[in-house]
Amino acid sequence: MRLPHSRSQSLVFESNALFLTTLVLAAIVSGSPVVDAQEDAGAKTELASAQAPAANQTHEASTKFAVMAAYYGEMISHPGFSIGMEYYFFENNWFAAYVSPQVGWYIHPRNHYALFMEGNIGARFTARFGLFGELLGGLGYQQRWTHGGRVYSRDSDGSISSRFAAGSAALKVNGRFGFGWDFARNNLLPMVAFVRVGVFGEYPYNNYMLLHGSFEAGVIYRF
Amino acid sequence: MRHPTTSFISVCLTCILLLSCSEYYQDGDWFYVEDEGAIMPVWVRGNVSSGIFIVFLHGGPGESAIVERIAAGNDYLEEHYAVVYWDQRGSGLAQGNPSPETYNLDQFAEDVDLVVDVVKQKYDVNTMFMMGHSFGGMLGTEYLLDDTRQDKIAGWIAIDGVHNYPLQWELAVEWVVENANLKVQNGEGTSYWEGELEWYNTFPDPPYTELPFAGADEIARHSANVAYLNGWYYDGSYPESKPEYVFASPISLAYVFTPIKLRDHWGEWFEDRSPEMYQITIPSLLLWGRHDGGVPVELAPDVYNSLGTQAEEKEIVIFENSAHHPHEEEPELFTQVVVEFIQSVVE
Repeated sequence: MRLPHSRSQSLVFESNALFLTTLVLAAIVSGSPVVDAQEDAGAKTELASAQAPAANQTHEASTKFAVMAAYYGEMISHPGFSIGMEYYFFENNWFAAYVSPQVGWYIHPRNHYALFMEGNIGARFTARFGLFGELLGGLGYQQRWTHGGRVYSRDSDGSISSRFAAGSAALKVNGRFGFGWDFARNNLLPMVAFVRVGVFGEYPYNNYMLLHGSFEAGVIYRF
Repeated sequence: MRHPTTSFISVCLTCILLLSCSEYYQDGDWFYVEDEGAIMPVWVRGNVSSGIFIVFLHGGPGESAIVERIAAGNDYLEEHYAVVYWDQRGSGLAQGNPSPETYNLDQFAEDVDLVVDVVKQKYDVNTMFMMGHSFGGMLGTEYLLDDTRQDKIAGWIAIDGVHNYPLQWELAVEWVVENANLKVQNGEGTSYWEGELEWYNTFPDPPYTELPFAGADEIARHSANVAYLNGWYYDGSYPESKPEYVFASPISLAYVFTPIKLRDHWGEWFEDRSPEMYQITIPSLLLWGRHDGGVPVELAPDVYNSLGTQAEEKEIVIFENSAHHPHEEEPELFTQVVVEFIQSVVE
């Protein structure tokens, strides 16, 4: 007797999840060709009109809050995303200290996928012309599920049954460093583009803390 | 014109999309078995339509059948039969949080039985064989000592497989000492090998009743010495590591860390099953690399003589150009020998 499972079902889910994640992210960062063409044609005009008022005013933040969205890659290439916010509890011309709650998701095909919520505290050092470096670390909660196929187990009567995936909860411990560009320093936009590379620990995993690499590339928009 | 940053990110995302289409994410069937806190991946590859399935028991303890398949390949055998790659609890890519108390041979054998039953239920299996490498030899032996379980398996293939740890460690230490002395005589790394020989001299005299050293660090030290003497791979070349294994395959960093954690339990598997092996009566093929320094070839006659299988249904085959991994070092000859054995059983 075959179990009530079709391999094609898991493959469809697997392919769809990967494809949709990357497709959506690609669409977000790329924009449509039409928009690109328009931007190209009117670039000089837009730049000129944008710089005229910028000469007299800077994009100084009106609040201490910002929102962020990023590609989140576990081990760089296992795709996902993260979204969150930043609250700057101390800042001056070259330094900002902030807290950043985030939620995110990623998938490592045929291994696992995970949802996470985390709180980070960070320090950002920004040069006058906009380049910055930052360090951040924090703690969070991660819920992981197996990925790639069904999970089979033996019931108390000896028969075998299956389910879609097996999940487990874990503590997530983060450490990251990053760099990026603060466009507000050049009077362009109240926006930051960043790349962050880091390590996070997942505990427990086989009764120890499993280390993962992480890579983020995204933007922070400050109100 | 597209902004350079946008182009860069688009290229990155395209790369990620391509990586997501890796063959390791597509080939074969992938599923998990869950037992006593462990969630263990199973990868079924090869000629499923043959109806002949080989359940592969990896070594270590703590290694990974799946990583071994990815890094070393097994294409020749998979052309003929379906091969079931399963990562044992607390090993390789296995997930979950099993209690360390479950790291014992009884539980491992129960896990094997679950894999066998799931595969038999999931596929049209005509004949099932079991193949154990290194520690997988001990695990397969443990499994087959149960009559009910043995009835599920048509034939047993051991590749440099352990069945008697006290004898294995005695022979492995002898092998290193003998080859280290040759190094000293030849003036190769003299000071290093003299130091290591002093260390081996601190071991108690065999027969061993427990591991001849304290624990995980010493296991790593001995293992490194076997490697330096080409006792794992005869020509000293290991399977190539490729970036795609990290970035575009199921492999995670668990492959690095998990086996280290499991080493703390090696002492608990220090068993000798030879007195009970007369109960194993199925056709058996014993494959050994001539130059194996970890599980030396001198162990082969003890396995052969201990098995209850009739003489005409058991055989030892020595691979002259292999150490501990004849299935990787001489894959074509290995496949030829295994196919001949399986066909002789099936026919």
